[in-house]
Amino acid sequence: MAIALWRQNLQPASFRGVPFYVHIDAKAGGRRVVLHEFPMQNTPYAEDMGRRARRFRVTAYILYSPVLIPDYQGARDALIAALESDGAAAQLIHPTLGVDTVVVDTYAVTERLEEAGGYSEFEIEFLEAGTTAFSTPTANTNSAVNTTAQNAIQTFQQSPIISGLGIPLGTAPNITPTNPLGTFGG
Amino acid sequence: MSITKPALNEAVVIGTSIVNNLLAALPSAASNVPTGTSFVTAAGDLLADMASEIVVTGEFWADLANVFELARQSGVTYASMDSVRMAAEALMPVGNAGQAVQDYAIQISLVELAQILAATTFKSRDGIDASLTSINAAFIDAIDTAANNFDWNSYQALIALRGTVALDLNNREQTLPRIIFYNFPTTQPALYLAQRIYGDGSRGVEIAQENNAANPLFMSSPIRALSS
Repeated sequence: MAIALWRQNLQPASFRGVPFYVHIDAKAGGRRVVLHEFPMQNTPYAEDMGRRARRFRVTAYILYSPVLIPDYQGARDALIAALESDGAAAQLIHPTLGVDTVVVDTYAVTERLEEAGGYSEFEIEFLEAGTTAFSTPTANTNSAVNTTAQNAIQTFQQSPIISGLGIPLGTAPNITPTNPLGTFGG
Repeated sequence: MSITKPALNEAVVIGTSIVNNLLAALPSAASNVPTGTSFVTAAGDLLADMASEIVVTGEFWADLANVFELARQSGVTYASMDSVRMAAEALMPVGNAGQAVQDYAIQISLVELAQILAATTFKSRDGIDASLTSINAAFIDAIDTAANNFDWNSYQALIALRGTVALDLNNREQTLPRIIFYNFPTTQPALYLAQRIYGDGSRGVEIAQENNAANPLFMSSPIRALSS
């Protein structure tokens, strides 16, 4: 019997390169809509404010296997470390939903030693990482005004109108010394 | 070309008038703070030595710019600085020295106006629009004068300064709300209006001040307030 196509397309799940098995895999998204309802009007207005951030809820598990996972505890701890590690977003490979760049929101790991030893179940909630919204550099136009203003003062002082007076900075006056400076004005 | 005695006299009269106007523009509370004291001292020194500084040391131009800078740093407002500029524009010197002092003082006052606007925190787009209109009008005559004097460097400096101010104000305008008018069927207390408009009752005083309310308990429509 031929293997179904969806089974052929299954990807081995992993997060930060740490593999795990998947029991349930869910993806949630949508649009951010603000609903405006107006007094005395029958028709509301649903304002679309953009796409909602995607959320991925994964029920994962690590299962002891003498062949595939002989070090059950090591595999479990490696996944916990990957979920708790510092740093930026990382790649999540779903078995069926493809590859996404996500951050970990929360996770919970459960072991049922009496019923199922060598089996740990993870409830993980991933969030779409997206991009940094506020990193676009903008010009400091405020300080540009002050710089231009100070440069302008220097320019104005070197104006030909001032130098045209015939009294370059720091030189002696070209007026008759018999007129004391204090008597100017009449 | 040298400066004549009548021309120097006129320049001193023009310069004295401008510095006195600047001193009058100083807020009374600012005369006690360190910058205000420095301003008053510098202005006094310049008034005492103006003739000497123009014809002997040539320090007048730098000192006048310094007095303007200190005036701005002492808290002279945009409106006061603009009135100093307009008073300088209204003077009618005939000699070359007097005209040079007048043109230079107008240019420096524009520099100070630009810097005052750069340091101003605006609350609404309408405030920025009004300032932009005001300073654009202030630049027109100074730019024409520089062009008529074939003073290309000053002309370009003025154009660049006006452009930078316009860019800065337009840039900051994008993030601000507009002032709009709200209508309510009856008179309402400012506290209630603040809660209705902003969802923040603590901004009642702001609304009362914005609308020059005679009594903040009974404010009648239309109410001037920010759009967000």
